[in-house]
Amino acid sequence: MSAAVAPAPAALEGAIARVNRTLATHAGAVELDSVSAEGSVRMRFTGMCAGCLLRPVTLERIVAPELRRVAGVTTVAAPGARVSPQALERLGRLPGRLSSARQDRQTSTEGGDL
Amino acid sequence: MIDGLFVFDHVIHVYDMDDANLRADRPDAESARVQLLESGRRARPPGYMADVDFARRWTIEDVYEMVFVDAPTDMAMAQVVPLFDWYEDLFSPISSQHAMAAAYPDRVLFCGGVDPLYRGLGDALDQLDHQVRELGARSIKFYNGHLPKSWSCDDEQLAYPLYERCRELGIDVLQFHKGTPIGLQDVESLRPVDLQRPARDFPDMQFVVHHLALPYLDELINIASRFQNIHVSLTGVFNYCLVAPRRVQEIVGRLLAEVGSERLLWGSEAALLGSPGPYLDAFMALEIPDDLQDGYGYPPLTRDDRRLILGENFARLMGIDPTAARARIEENAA
Repeated sequence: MSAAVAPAPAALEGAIARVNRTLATHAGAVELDSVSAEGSVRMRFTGMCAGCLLRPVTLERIVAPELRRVAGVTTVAAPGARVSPQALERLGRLPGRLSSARQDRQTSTEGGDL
Repeated sequence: MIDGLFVFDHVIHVYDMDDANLRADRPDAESARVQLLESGRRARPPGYMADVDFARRWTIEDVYEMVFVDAPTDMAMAQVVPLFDWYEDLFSPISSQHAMAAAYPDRVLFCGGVDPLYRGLGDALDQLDHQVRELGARSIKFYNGHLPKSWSCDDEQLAYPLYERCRELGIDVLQFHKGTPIGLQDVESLRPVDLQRPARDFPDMQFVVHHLALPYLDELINIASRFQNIHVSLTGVFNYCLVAPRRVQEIVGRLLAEVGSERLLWGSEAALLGSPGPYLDAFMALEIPDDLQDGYGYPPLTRDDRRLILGENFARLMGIDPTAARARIEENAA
């Protein structure tokens, strides 16, 4: 499936900067690895996020919802943050300020197979 | 190819475990050979190749048949193991691995091997020059656990000059036997933790860790998940698909979740562990069961994962286009 609109680099950079303000509270960060023609965004965790067991939670609850607000982004994935459908379902049931995550995810994370 | 997927076996060995290659001055040589042969026997299915004498000097024809005729392998890397402790000419000698690559240039790459404790650092550096410039090595293998003394992979005096010379020679994929000592060396000398500093200090180089560094799997996964230039070789892992599939499911599921399939590499360890055919079939049939997906959050093993693990990851490290490589193989076979 082709993206209707290719993600604008500036918009992606802005979203990543907003995410990183949150992750900085844990001395972690994400950086952009690649964007495909279909709008699949691949991120890389750095700092204290690198190797953290909670990367799937961070990706699903903080990183992916923010990036999916950028027009043209269809999926968001990162090495070390890939989990099972059952785990995704549980993450989607978490309450919190990013409650739109579940709805976003249903249309976007199936391609996050890293 | 298997099910349309390119198979690049990144570690095979043309062994020499013949009596004539055992060091007469080492009383522990025979027990070390027995231990290695036993580990291979245990990793093969019961009765599989039971009539084959593995304690011999394998020929390149033997290994070719095992890897490319009896299994759907497209390409492989013949690796030196610079383990000199019990063998006169290493137990996976330089000459045999090079001969295999020279005989089958469209299918086999040569991985050299050196050790700074063998004949000193100067000799190891000279060997690097020789193996890369003269013999065409595309990667270098290290084995740092020895008796009575080991070296550390983050030793700036012994190890770093080797990495720097590799870099000068255009070699950017370095491979390390970790864990699973071949003999009675201290297992902790083969912990993977000493690869962290090199991975930081040589960010342009790729470090491949073999054998899951067992029993240090937790350490390896932590390191590989933090360092993007650490790659995990699955050598020997899929052999246990036939014996202990649950254990393999747990290991592969965890690696998929915490490291990602883009840095996992298929390796068969033929000839010691037999033809890769049965293990390739077992890997293709391997699934991450629902209870592991549910209870541990491990993702399913997809066709894309298999494609990357079986061949495309190592092809990428070697700068090889799988489609072009396959076409060349078929053209030469016609």
